[in-house]
Amino acid sequence: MRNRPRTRLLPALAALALLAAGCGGSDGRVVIASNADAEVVAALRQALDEGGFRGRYLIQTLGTAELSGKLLAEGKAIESDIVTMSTYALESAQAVHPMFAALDFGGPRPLAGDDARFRPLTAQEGAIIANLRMLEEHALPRPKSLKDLADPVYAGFVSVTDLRSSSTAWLLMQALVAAYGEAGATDVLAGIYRNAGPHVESAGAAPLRKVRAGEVALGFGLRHQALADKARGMPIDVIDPAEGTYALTESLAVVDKGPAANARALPVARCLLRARPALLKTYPTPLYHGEAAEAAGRPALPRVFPQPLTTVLLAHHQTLADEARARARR
Amino acid sequence: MSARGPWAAFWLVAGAAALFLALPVGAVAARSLMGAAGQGTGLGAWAAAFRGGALPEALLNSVLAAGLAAAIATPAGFLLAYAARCSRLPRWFRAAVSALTTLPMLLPTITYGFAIVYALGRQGLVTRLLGWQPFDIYGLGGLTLGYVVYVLPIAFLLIRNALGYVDRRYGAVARLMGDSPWRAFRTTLLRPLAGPLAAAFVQSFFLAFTDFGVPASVGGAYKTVAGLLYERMLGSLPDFGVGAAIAVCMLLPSVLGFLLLRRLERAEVRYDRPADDLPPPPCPARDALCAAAGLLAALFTLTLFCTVALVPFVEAWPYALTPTLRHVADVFADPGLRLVCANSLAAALGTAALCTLLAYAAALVTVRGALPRPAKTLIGAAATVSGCVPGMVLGIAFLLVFSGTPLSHTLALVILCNTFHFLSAPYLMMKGALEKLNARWEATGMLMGDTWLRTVLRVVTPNARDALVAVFAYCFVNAMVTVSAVIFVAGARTAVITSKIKELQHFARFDDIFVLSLLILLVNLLATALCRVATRRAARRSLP
Repeated sequence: MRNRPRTRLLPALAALALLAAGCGGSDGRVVIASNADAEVVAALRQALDEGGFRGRYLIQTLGTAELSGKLLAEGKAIESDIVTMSTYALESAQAVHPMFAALDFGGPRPLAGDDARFRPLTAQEGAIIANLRMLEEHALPRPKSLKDLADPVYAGFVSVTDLRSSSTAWLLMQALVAAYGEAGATDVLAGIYRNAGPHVESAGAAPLRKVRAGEVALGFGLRHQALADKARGMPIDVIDPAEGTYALTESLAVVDKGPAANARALPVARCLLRARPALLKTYPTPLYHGEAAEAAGRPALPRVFPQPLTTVLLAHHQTLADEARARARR
Repeated sequence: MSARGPWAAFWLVAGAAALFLALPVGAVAARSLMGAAGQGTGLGAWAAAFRGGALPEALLNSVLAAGLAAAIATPAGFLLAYAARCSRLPRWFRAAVSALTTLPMLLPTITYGFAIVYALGRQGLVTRLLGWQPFDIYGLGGLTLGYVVYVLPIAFLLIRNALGYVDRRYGAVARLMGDSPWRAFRTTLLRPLAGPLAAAFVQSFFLAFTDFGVPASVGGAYKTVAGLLYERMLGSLPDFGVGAAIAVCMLLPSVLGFLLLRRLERAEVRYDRPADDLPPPPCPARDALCAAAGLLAALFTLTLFCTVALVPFVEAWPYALTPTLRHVADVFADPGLRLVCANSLAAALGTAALCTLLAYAAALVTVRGALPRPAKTLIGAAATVSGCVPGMVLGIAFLLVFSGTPLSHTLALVILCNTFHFLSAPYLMMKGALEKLNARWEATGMLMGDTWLRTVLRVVTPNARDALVAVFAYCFVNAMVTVSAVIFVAGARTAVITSKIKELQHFARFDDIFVLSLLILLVNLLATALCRVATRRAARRSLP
């Protein structure tokens, strides 16, 4: 008998938790889903706070994979009113479920891209990341180009990402294809994969982590993340490859929720673009007419891939990368 | 005999499983027939999934690695559970073995992979202390090690729970009858434990098979099916159709696991009442072996754990070793942290309550309900199969089905998703405990005029109390550390701590991840301590 209250407690607790959890719906705040880095989010917050939206928005940060998963699974039913992520990923979501509204609020004109649904926010650049301590300890020469990473002298000391799982690898692929053509790029990439062995990673941030932890000496990753590590005093350096530095833009888009739309979504989206001057400091690539970046932070050889960066092109580059991987294993 | 009670429990579990397991998983499976990239219908996605031969290879790799991990974790878990329950080692030592063996469970899985790299990698703690790297951590070796760290706690818990319900008096009788120690051990301990041992193996296998965190950090060039699933379903060009086809292939092992467990059910040994007041007989050799196993496990866990506890408190491991609290300050400076912590606690409590309830109901139906065999099989299959649905697939499945309904973005959905994500281990734990209890209680209760439900509440529940508390604690702790499914279901206002961890992982801020992991560890230690106090107090109250 004594045990009866406790056995009743469990269902009661479960019911209560479910009930309590059911509450708490919309509160009028604009929800922004983003896969952007911490500095970007800080700049966005600042722009919104200064623009009079303090307390009227909510930023939900997610990994790239999770955010694209949500976009594909939910479409317009997604909780967020505004999404920021890679432009090509937004385009591919739009192709599956038409879900974004045209941004007709004027403002500065983007340098590239003519889709009225997307406004670029940042340009992510790739670079070779070196652990200077490891290079010295193992008496390795400092590489100058991506092609150098395929040199057998670096066997076991290189980490890169796989193009199937990480879009950071696309920055590497673009540079190789533009410099050596498709067949040449596949050759170089196979050499890099051979050197990387177990260090071909799925997450974009993983090569930097391995360089940082001294697991490898060289990696290919996002330039600004490595620069931040360098600024923190780690024995890390950024090498801009001789093939040039390529970029992937991240854009913002407003979800077209029809009559259920949050009236503040468009004004908030417009206000987000005010973060551009602050963002230019971390991502020094001009994206709009009238913008200029300081020369100090710019990569040595900024380049733009000759073809538009569409999902079709990415799928094609993936098959080249698959071929390189298969060749590296033989 | 009225069967209203068992049927009520059956409908509770069956209804919930139909709505929150079969429907979402069915929706994903249907996607695999809509062709690649969601266009049209047909077997395009299946063809794309099998093109190039990567899938069969990854499946075989995963079966091998997960099988190896389960084959190591099950005997190791048995040895440690045996040390904790059946040795004459000092009480504090046995408590320490239990605590340290289950410690990794209290941390998010993301941390193990990094802990291994930071401990055994080229610049790792152990490598630096030893001056040389013990072994190459990338590939099958590192993968198996990571999996073992991940699954050993659950193997240990399943076996330790079941050991608590094995009657020691049979062992004493066997020795009095002149059985050799080995024979007595075999007939009075190993044989009654056949079911729980197999359950521990199957569960360990499932966990390792569906895990993505460990291969992502130490898998190296060794391709696992979970990695392939992630890459195709959510990679740089996500394709749910191909992902769904891979996910369906991943359900196959769960069917085999379920059949294996079914076969072993026939060998069940039942007892009147577990007698754990009988001290084990003296045996120095056994105690020495147990002590060695305990020490080895403790050393291993502490090495990994020290890394997690050390890395966030230095400037930048491994090159700037000045002590700092900067990373801790960074994490606590986040204004949203309080809401996120409150959400996590609410979700974990809700999950623990609901999951314990469902696991108990399911185990009651399959073990102690007088229902037709197909009904029992259905419930057993539902509870077991849930263990082989990768979290990521369940999360996306929930989005596909519940997006746009009033349930979407609520904590309720987080709780339901967690519940069906974890259900199989709690179910196996409850089943292992209930199978050991006398099967005639319900009949006796009924003869005395009690309904099935009253017998369950008055007789079965008090006797299964320890297992119930253990299951509650297990679900709570898991809900605190889980990432894979919940990350999709949690909304902007219902984010939990682990969604924060995932986000930090995306930014490569591993120091901060370790700080949050330690925070979660603290909460979990507190929760398990509370559960232990509850068990002890209840035990004191219900002494005859």
